[in-house]
Amino acid sequence: MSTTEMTGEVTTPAETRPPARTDRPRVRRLLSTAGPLTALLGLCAVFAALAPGFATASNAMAIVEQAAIPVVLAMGATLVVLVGGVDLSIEGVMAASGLTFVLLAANSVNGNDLGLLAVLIALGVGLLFGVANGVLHVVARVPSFLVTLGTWFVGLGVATVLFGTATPQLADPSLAAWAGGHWLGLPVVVVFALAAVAVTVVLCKGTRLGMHTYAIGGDESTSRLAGVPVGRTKIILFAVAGLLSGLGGVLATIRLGVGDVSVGSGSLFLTLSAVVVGGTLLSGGRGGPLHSLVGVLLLVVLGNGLLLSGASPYIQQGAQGLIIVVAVIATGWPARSRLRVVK
Amino acid sequence: MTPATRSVRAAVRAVGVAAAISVMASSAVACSTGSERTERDGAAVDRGDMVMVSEVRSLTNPYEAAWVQGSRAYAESLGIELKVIVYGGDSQNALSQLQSVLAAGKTVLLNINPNTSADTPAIVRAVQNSGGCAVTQWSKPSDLHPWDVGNGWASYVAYDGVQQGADTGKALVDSLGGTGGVIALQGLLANEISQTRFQGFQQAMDGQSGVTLLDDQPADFDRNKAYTTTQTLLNKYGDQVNGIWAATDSMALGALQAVREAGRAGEIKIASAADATPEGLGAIADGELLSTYTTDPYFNGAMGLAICYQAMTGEIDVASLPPENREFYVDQSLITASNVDRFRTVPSDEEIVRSVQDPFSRITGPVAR
Repeated sequence: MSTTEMTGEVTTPAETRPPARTDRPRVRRLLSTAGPLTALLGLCAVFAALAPGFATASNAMAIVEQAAIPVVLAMGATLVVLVGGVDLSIEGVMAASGLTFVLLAANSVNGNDLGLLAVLIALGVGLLFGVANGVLHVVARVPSFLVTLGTWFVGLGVATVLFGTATPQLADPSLAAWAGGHWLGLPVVVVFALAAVAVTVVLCKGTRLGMHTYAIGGDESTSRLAGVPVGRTKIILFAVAGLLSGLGGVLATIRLGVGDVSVGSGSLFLTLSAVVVGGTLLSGGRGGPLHSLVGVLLLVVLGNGLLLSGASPYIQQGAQGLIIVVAVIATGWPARSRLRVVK
Repeated sequence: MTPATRSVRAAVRAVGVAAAISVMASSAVACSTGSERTERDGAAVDRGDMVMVSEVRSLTNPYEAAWVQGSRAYAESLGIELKVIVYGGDSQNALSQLQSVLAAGKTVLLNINPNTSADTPAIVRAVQNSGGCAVTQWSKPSDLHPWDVGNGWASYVAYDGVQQGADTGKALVDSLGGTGGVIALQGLLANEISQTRFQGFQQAMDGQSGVTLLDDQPADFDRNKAYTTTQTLLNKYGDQVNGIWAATDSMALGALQAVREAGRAGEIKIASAADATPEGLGAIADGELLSTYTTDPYFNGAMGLAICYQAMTGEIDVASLPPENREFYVDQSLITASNVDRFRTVPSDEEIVRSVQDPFSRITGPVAR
């Protein structure tokens, strides 16, 4: 997470441009929307040519399946970033929800067997964390990255306490079957991911809450003056993000078949990178769930393609980092005057 | 200046102050450990003045949870207080928590699995200067030896990763009948024990000609990463894959999940080179994994404390111990379906205490460097 230097100055909006250049913003918007998608298609074309086994149905399915849980997480992260905040608590919430779930479903450690109710309670835990993030950020006026940094470790702590001393193994056959099972001809995790995308898109594009979200990200103080309920909107968005992190934790736990405190390790990096690479501005107000969907696919395809093309592991890591830096510069460049701080 | 920037500035300032304080504190600690030398004069220490410390990375790792259980059994058998320090993979935290126990004034008997080999000198010197005794396990800088530091660092205990890799690699080759293709999953590329295991695995592969290594990838000891990597590699190599070798149980179990989802469970053989986690042992008993390796964590957790206890009570004299009792490999065993049941039962406290009556009983040789 980069915060630009804090000069403390209130930057004025750029001077009004001469009318001859009115088409520039539209071109920029098109670039930031179509850029990542073009990059994704380009990357697929390159790997299809270079890497044996990339352009096959089974590999396409593997990519979609590997992208599913990050997509669920990225939907929540996108909502928070759209209002100019950031949610760093993803991995902690995943751990707390995942362990809550596995200890309430049939498992090897205790006698609980709540079935689907265990899933719901675990999602509730995620929701609680999200509400806590939102309330602390809005009411206590603590920057969101500090609040969520704290709840990240609170989540890990809760998970460690729940874990105890023995690894709890999931013993509920119907839930364990989600790991390799299919619904409607699609892997279960992919169904959840598509549902998460659909809900988030509807929320962003078709509701008053979504309108407020973009307004706050665009200019918070003006929105406040215009009567937008800034605090309430932010709390709801953080709550949804927490809920989705919880869902990600449950799905990842089912995939592993055991409760594990490190179930979310690496998810934060992948999720936030995907949001940025997809073209959602860290300062808020531009981008959206579909951008992040493209962002996740881009990173998963990159990792998958590099592995298949036999690149050295060191190059694989370096390439991912490089792509993120380039994407941040490309998406942030037109808005660099506004990027004063990650709120 | 908006409220947001103001609060961020305040936060930055707070972090800066905290950092400055911690730097000052750690330099003060460094001064104090450097100046007050209260090294023992060889007189036996009274049991009531001792405190035993078992220091590990996390308690959610089955190996370390068992190690702490071994420490606890031994400390309870003597009626000595045991402090368990869990430092969560944070070297600074590992040292600062230890410092606060040392500062309490009792004679410390430390058995530690350090975070990285670079942490060893600071840890053993701090313990030695407070008049305590330390046994470190798993990793240390290769040019630093207990006899160079002093009697406060009784022993360094290590496990032969090359042997683990070679034996489990051979088990995999044998199970394939000597022909086929295999994939290897390493841990973190920069991790020494992961490197030595892979080196051993390569030795096993060099010793025969029928099995080819299709690909080797780092999965960072991470179960999820092992799962996605295996899934991708199975797509790449398809039916050429007959076996998978992984440096730890958790990665082997991640690979197993991917193999199951590809519908090739049982057909692809999977060998793990270390850890003997309960889940891994269960998978071996079910015939889903081929092998793992145990270094008996219960013994390791008690043995380090036993060496220090005997040194403190004068039963052994650290200064006159031969080098092979100061730095050594400990016996370990390959676990396969034929002997897995023996390792699935948790030893009783009495068995653990009995196994460390002579803490040097399982030495297999000097540490190879």
